[in-house]
Amino acid sequence: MARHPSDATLSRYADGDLGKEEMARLKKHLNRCSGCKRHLAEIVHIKDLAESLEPVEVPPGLLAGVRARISASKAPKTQGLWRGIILGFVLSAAIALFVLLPHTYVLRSHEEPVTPVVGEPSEELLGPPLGLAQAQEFGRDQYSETAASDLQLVVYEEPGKDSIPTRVILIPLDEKARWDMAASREQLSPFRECLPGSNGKQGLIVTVGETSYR
Amino acid sequence: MDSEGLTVALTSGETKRGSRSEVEGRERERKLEQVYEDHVAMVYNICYRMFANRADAQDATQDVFLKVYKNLEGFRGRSKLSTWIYRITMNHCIDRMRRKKLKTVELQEWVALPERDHDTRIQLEKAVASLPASYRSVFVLHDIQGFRHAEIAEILGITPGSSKSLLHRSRVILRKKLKGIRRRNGPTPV
Repeated sequence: MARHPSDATLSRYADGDLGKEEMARLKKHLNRCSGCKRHLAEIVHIKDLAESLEPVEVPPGLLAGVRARISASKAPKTQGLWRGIILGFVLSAAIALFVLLPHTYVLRSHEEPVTPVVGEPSEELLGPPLGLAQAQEFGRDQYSETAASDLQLVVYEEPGKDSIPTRVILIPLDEKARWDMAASREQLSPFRECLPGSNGKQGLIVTVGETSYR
Repeated sequence: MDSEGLTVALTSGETKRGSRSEVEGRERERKLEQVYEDHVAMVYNICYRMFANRADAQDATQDVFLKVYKNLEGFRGRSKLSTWIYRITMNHCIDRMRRKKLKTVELQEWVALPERDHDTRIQLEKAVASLPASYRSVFVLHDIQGFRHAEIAEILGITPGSSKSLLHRSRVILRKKLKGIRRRNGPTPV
């Protein structure tokens, strides 16, 4: 064999995938051509390495994932219908709130008792007061992100505090709460002023579900 | 038939229909479990070798079995069940690669002779992941998973000759990518 065989031919040789005559010719060539011999060795090594790759273990829980996908794929139409109904309901509620909220969200005078503006959260949802740094983490930008989850904002005012809302409570509620919160967002700016440093008070409570963020 | 009798008849019919669909549902569930048990290891390994990462492999495997579940009733047995499942697997992997436009791995830095076989294997896995989809498919099925060309041809819908051709070309590409890797122990085959 005067010419050097191609790599593809060497690969076929490694698999024994050539005719008898060609195999014999190539074998003779390889005996005196160190370059081709080296190329063949590299191809065979890659082949051997590939064969020696250990099978990877199947992680547990895959079947449960398959079942979940099956369940999800069975009810897409119903979900879509319900989503539409809920969206319609939420939009109606949002429009109603947009009209009503400015009237209900008036900050009370100093003498009045603590009043939840949007709704009364249950006691166990209340968390400890936030410090300044943590409170700032729940600043406006954060609200816009957390608003996508199930949070409702409740702003309290306390007597004698210059009508500044002194506690902000986030509680998980329904779809409607997102709109409440969105509508209330404009009212959030005062809470920054009541944080420690401005008037010396701990001014914020944020509670999300069972987890209290201090 | 009086109204009470009609009610009983209707109720009984509904119950039968309900129980029949329940039985069918359980039967499908049982079939899925059986098929899953028999083939998940190969499906997952093919997916893993095609994507070279576990997250994609897991996701793809679940998608494959969802497709298997949905189409199992329509499987007519023209090919072996395993071939059919692996065809779904390969089609899904290739489709996913196209959709995600998975980036190929740059291998310029991998030209040095590796220190250990373990490193070499890792380099090989990455190099395989950098192959074009058709080459990768054949290399994974033949050299890693051990399928024969006739099986690969059936799975990928190509001829055995094309399968061989793609395999040899994929090895040539890999040899160039992994230049310098060679057998350190043992004789050079001639």
